[in-house]
Amino acid sequence: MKMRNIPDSKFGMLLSLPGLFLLVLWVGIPLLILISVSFLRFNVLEPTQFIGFDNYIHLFKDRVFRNALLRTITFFAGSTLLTFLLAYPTAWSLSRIRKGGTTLRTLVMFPWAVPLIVSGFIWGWMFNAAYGVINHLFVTIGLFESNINFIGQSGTAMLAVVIADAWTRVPFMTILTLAGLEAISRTLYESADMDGADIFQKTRYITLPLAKGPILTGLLITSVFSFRTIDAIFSLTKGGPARGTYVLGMLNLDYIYNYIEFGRAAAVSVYLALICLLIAAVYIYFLLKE
Amino acid sequence: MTKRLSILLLTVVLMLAFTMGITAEGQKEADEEQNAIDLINWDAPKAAVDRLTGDEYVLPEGWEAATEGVEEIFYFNSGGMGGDPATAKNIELFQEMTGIEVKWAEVSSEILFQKTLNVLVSKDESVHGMSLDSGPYELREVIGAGWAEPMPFWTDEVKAAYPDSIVPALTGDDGKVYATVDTMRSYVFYYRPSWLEAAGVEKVPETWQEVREAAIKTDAWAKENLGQDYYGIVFPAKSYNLLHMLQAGIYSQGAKVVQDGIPSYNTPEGRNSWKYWTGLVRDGAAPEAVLGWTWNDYQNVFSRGKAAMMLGFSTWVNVCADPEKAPAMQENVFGESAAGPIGKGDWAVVQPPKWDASEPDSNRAAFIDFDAFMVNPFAKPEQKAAMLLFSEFKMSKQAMANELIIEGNEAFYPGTYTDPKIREQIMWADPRSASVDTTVMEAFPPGSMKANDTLIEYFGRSAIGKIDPIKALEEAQSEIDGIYR
Amino acid sequence: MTVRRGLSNIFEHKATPYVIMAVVLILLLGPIYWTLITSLKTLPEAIKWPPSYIPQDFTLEAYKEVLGRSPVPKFLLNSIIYALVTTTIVTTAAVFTTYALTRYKYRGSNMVLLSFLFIRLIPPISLLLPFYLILRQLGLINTRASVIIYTIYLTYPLAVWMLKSFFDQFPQDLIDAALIDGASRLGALFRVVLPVIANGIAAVAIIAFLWTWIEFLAPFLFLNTDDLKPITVGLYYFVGDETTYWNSLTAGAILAIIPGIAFFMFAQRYIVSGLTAGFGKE
Repeated sequence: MKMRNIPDSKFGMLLSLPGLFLLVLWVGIPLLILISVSFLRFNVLEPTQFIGFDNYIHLFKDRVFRNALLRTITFFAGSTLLTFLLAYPTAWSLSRIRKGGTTLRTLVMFPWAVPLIVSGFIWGWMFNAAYGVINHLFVTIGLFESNINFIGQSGTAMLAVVIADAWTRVPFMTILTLAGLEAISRTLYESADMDGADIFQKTRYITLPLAKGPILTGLLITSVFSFRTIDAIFSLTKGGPARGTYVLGMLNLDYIYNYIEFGRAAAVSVYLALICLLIAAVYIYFLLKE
Repeated sequence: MTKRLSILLLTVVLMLAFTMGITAEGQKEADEEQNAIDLINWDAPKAAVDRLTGDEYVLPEGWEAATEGVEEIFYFNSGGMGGDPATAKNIELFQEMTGIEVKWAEVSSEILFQKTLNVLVSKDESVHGMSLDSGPYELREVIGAGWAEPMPFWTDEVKAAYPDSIVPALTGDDGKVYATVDTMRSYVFYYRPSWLEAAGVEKVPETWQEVREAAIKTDAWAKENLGQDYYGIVFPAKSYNLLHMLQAGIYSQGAKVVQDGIPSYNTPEGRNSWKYWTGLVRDGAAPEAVLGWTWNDYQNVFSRGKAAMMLGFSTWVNVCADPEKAPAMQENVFGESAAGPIGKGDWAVVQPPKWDASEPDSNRAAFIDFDAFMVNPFAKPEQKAAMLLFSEFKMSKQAMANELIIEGNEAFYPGTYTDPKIREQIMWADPRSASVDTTVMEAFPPGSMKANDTLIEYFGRSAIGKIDPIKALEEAQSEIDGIYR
Repeated sequence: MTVRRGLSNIFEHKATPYVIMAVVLILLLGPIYWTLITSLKTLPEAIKWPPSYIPQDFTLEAYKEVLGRSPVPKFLLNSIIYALVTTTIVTTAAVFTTYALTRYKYRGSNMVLLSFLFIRLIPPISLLLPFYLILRQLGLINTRASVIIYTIYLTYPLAVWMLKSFFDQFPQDLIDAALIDGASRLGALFRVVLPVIANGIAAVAIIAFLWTWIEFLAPFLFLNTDDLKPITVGLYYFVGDETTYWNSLTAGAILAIIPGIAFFMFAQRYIVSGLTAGFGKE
């Protein structure tokens, strides 16, 4: 057989060729085009022209861009934090539950099956000012005096999109955290118990350090995803009110499809990618620091 | 070293090649393609204007040859077909006439413009017709980009027969007409008599100043007697329809918005209007929730009986008159059934207000909004021909009569309104035709969508008191000027 | 200190995890429950104030309305096509790629692995524009291929990254033994490695499936005709102007969620064990 005569290293190269091909064709070329277009004035009304860094400079000075950047950071930080705050207790409880654990794990995963765009609709319905169940609950327990229009006010609208986004991300984060928690040996806790450590000390000195890898990986994936995914915003607020939830992804989309300025859109995309890589770099630094 | 250099060079060349390939617009072989459309003689069997404005529409000669082999045409319908019974009826008529099936996708108004550009930018030929549902703002941009097929049935006589306030907006710099009007909506002023009475408002407001006073009174009354989510006046401030409100304020003072080709809101009249509408929210006569409402939302709030007044589409009378869609409108607050003759309940319609008592009645004016219907220039010639026939039929008197009677949209062909047979079937015909008479139409330059987004944002921020209204307007205007510089 | 001790005792109590889970499940499943019951109400009941927490007039009217009015079955079928094609291509390709990259290293193979990680970090939304321009140039806008090309890009790098840890954990001795017994290198992959890491591959396949299933933005931008739209996009069009028909809207939402949930019920074991193995031991 001819295959056998190929040396191992060549074999590896051949076998990974389809992957490499995808890598170059699917990502390399689009990336090159993206960067090239970002240096052009490229819209439908004027002739296409090379303008150097003008698009980047314009955006940097643009109030709308800077506000969108700020909102993006609020959005992704809020979503990641909320995801973690829900996922950690869930994972911790699941790791201690023996009876019915499998059923509970399946149930916890359900929101993952909800497309973000649908999550936006669901929460939009629950937050509805006139008929929303959340308003009813809060008014009933006396938290609000009367119905609040969550989606219609800048402050609460941001909260609403963060909730709609985080809700679908909790299951993934829970599984990863759970994986980290279950990998820790019981004996460590038992010896800590004998030393009289309370739960806070155990969390601080055993759980968090040992489950750090999976938790950080989960946080990385959650952050990067919520940083760049605008589906929930798209279906819930469309960036409003008064651009209160207008993130970079929405700006990018507007440049492509409302204002038809591809050069600017490309520059926004490049900024977006750079910031995303920066966030990732921070996590990876912590992940590898040891 | 040389190897690396050559790789680098190769990369740069590839980048350049791809970019050029992507950005270069393919030249179209236009000459041959036009043939199918040229087979149609628009002035036969009778002049185009007569074919269009007769009680029954007549197809032009040669249409069969031009559309040979076309079995169906496809277009983007603005919103759900369930809300467009007249369109559905007209499609049925067109299918009976031509045997060409008309198909559509329901595209909600929030994303219609995006999806339309999407089709045009990608030169997708699978969509043959499309509508721009805020024509005044969007049309110039699309025509300017060369993205609309000229409509040869617009002869000079046809142009003369249609409103001269709107036809110029459909015309390109080359004098050709590129669109027709699908549906048209003027604005009228809605109010609920029993609320005004209960709140102690003595006469129906005729000026915006009186509206404001009435709004404050009715809002206070409604909050006390009906509940926290009942309001004095409602309007939309999430979508471009907010601009219509600002424009109504400006037109009612006899001024216009577009000056030297730039939308200018920082004028004395513009500042008045801006202060007025932000003030309604700041004074609590309108709820902060308006910032999250589109045209659909605020009019629904009114028709569900949760507001005393609104400046709404003339077409909305059909919703208000429908006991299923607007149950609350049939009873007044004193517990009596207010259902009278068809279309009358505890609500009424008058012409839009004027600014203040010093203005003449001819300034009781608001904006007129229309959906422009276009043919995709990238479609196949036979399909374009079929779509042109459909567009022509849609603006005929016969089709417009259906729009007016079945759906309550204003008629693009003015002769529809003056036909007594048709007029007697229309609810609130008097204030509506009066508002069409005083209406102001301006065509906005390319870039208006961006300008609108800026205004909407600043409006929202100043309405909730985050920024001084006049300062907000100044900043918004300077950003708008920046777009056109 | 006593407060802290007290709190600690509460957390350590046997019942605490169950209490936490009850709260969490209400938060996580409440919205789905609310969507489900709204879809089973009549329209007047759906927009009644105060809302009813159990439908009084149990009806399937909304589902009839959704299924009758818009081509939802077609949308669902499209979603399944996109998801299955993507999953098949991505899982197959990723198995070979990862096998090669982890077991038969060559100069630069680590670089390739790292690039897969790097790609995963580039926001897909950034590449929407170039993808759009390329597809336009190739005349692929409004075709099934456009969506599949995009979802492959979306899922492939992650599939490689996840599979990597399964391959890494697989003992090299077993492969060597198979090779000595006369198996070819591909034979060793199929007969020795794959059966053992089947769980992991199933997990990867499921995730690729789900990620394609929930994708919205790309098909929304690339597709124009109803015949091609997946459910996420179809639903968005459907609801656009009809936001007042909450019972139909929620019925559509439930139809879009059900396949994903069925998938989890059916395959949850693989997902948890697969993900746990894949990410647990970094």
